[in-house]
Amino acid sequence: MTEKSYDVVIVGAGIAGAIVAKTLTQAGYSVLLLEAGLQAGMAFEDPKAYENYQSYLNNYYNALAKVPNAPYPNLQDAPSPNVLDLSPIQGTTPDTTGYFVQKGPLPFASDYARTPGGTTLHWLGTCLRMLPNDFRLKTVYGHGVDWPISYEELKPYYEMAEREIGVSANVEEQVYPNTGEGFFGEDYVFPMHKIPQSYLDQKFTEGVQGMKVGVGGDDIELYVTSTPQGRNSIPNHRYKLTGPVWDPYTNKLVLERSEQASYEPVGSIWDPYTGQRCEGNASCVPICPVQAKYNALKTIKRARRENLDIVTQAVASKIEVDPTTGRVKAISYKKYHDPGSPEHTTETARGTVFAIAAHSVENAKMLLASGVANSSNQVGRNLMDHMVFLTWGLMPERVYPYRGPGSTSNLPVFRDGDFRKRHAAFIMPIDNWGFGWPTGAPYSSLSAAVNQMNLFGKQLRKHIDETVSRQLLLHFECEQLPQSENRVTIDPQYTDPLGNFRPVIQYNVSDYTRAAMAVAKNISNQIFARIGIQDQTQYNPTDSDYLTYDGVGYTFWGAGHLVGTHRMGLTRHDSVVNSQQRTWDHENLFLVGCGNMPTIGTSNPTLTMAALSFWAAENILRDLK
Amino acid sequence: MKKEKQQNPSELFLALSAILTGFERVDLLGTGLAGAYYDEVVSTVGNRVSDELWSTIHQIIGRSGKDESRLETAIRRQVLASPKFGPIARNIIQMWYVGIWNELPQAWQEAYGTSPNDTTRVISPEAYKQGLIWNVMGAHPPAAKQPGFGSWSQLPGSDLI
Repeated sequence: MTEKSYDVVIVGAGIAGAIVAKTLTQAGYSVLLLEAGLQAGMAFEDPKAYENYQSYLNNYYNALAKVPNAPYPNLQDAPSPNVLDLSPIQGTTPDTTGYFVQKGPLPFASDYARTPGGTTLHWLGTCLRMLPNDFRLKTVYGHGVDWPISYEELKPYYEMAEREIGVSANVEEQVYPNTGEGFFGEDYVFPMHKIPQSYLDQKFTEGVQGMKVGVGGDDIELYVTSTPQGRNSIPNHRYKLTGPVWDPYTNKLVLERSEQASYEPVGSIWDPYTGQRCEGNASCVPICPVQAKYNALKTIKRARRENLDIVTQAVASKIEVDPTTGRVKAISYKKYHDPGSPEHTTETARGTVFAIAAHSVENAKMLLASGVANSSNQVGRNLMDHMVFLTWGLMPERVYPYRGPGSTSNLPVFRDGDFRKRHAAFIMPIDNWGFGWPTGAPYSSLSAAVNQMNLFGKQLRKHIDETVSRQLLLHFECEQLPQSENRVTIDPQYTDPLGNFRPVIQYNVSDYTRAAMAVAKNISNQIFARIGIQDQTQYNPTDSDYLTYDGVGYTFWGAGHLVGTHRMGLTRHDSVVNSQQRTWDHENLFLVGCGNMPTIGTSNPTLTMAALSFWAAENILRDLK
Repeated sequence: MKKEKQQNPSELFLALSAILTGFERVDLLGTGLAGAYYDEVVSTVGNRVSDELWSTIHQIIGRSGKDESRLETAIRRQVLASPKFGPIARNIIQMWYVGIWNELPQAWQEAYGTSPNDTTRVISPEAYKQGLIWNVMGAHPPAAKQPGFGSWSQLPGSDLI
């Protein structure tokens, strides 16, 4: 039983919780960080940190299906969703195979990791800012909702996030549709130079040089840019920002500029000299063996540790509210010793301010279970992902995929535009890992060659060399609109061994996004025809997330993005938190994470959410003063 | 001396593996997994079937000599097309290429026996890392043998291709 009362209690040691914990402890405040995952994962020094991470790596090597959560322990007492549990939903019967109770009609396709460091352990690392119109989707295009904040207001926090994560990019190459001048701050550069673009990217770029695609009557010119990512590269000597630091006189969290400053890549947590550069492991999802890719443990390690208490194997279950004041008094959590046994003790965490940072689905689940913060009836609603729409084929020449980070370039052309009045926007990453994602290549390629084509010996080698080396995967990551009926709920019928609720999900994809998939396939066809790519794309009605639009079938996969379940807004009637990320209903309860985002745009949400987390930390600091 | 060597089951396994995979004996030995893969086969399919397989290989090699075309035809007809040896041979290819053992087909198990070893799985982390498919592709096993910063921007270095 913890008697101590902290300045802030944070639930969740992923990137959101880590950023808030680091910022607050560095400003001198006491923080208790509760994490559902194993103690072994919360190691910051050699040899424990190294050994624990090697155990993850070993799990990866031994895994037949190398899916995002393959390396990480799935704990009975704090289960994580796994994409291997996905299957088509039959009629009205919920699919209860995995942790999620999938009511459908389509299974929600993404996962997250409940472990120290959270989902940043298995993320790809792509770090793109949202575009200004993403914040005003309703006003500009008549769809979705507007955010209560603008891109301009979030900009300084984006810079903090890019520093914290360590983003590698060439700012002059970051040209996005409709952003105009001043998208980046004047003289802004990223901490590190771009991650080199792949040979495959170069070949693809040559192939689409000068190409225009017809979309809805318009001809749009394609161009390819390098992708900013949280992965160590060569430091940019022009990067002069440090911090952020909390200035209690101006009440602001600020990055400071110093001519003496230089950015140093942050290596692995067990050894700073490991992971100083991406080494080309080509396994970012699900694990970077050298931690050249950012993970949130690096942020926790930088917190002021004397101000930080961490309790692991602690599943926060109930937010206790004082009925007269509406303030949160405490959070009770279940502390387990053995993740395979339901035995646990119930403990209480007390503080002045509370921040829930357990990721969108767990946050919503906890609020619903506690019966708090939901006067708007929006908690759990507006769940969004990106629909990952894939097409694939053989390039005319070898391009040597399965090398380098998962994606080093993208086509930003469809991230914004007038077409958003009619269909969803999408970004087009060029994927470096062949047909792996949709087909399980190269294992499936080998199996087909041996079992169906009856190849062996030198013929087999030749076939693999001539075909697998030409595999190209094109990726269209489509925006999804917030919809009230896409939601996370709880049901006493469905609990986990610890007695906490399992998320019950209702989910579908609207025509606005389906139309984008049709457009995407059309664009893919045009590109394939121009380059001479042998299309091998196949969607099967038996795929878990198979849908139809205008009589044609398409399959999508989950991007691993979970957004919107406790969104921010202008009024307490249609949102859960205000623009400070403070719940409307409880003055000292902040929510942090992707759940705060009212729309998803076309960028991987982690960077935006990290920016928001710095802002939330700043707001909490103002409260504590 | 040479004849004895050829009759040795491990050597016959290696000789078969070389024909099936299209890699030289020395490349296969270089993975360090020849012993482990041999053990995998024998412990899963049993001594009776594996002895028959080595004996068949011995005969094929004896008769074909240096005639590669004859060798390949014989392997195809007597091994890959054989209900008894075919699934084993295809498993041998996939072991060397990706370090995975595939559970033998139902029909095979009913005809020749089952073994608790016979489950589809990655044989070991080392087997995963030594998979030959990556060499053929000009790549490397993901999360191992990383070729270094920026390597993905260039053509792969010349190696076993």
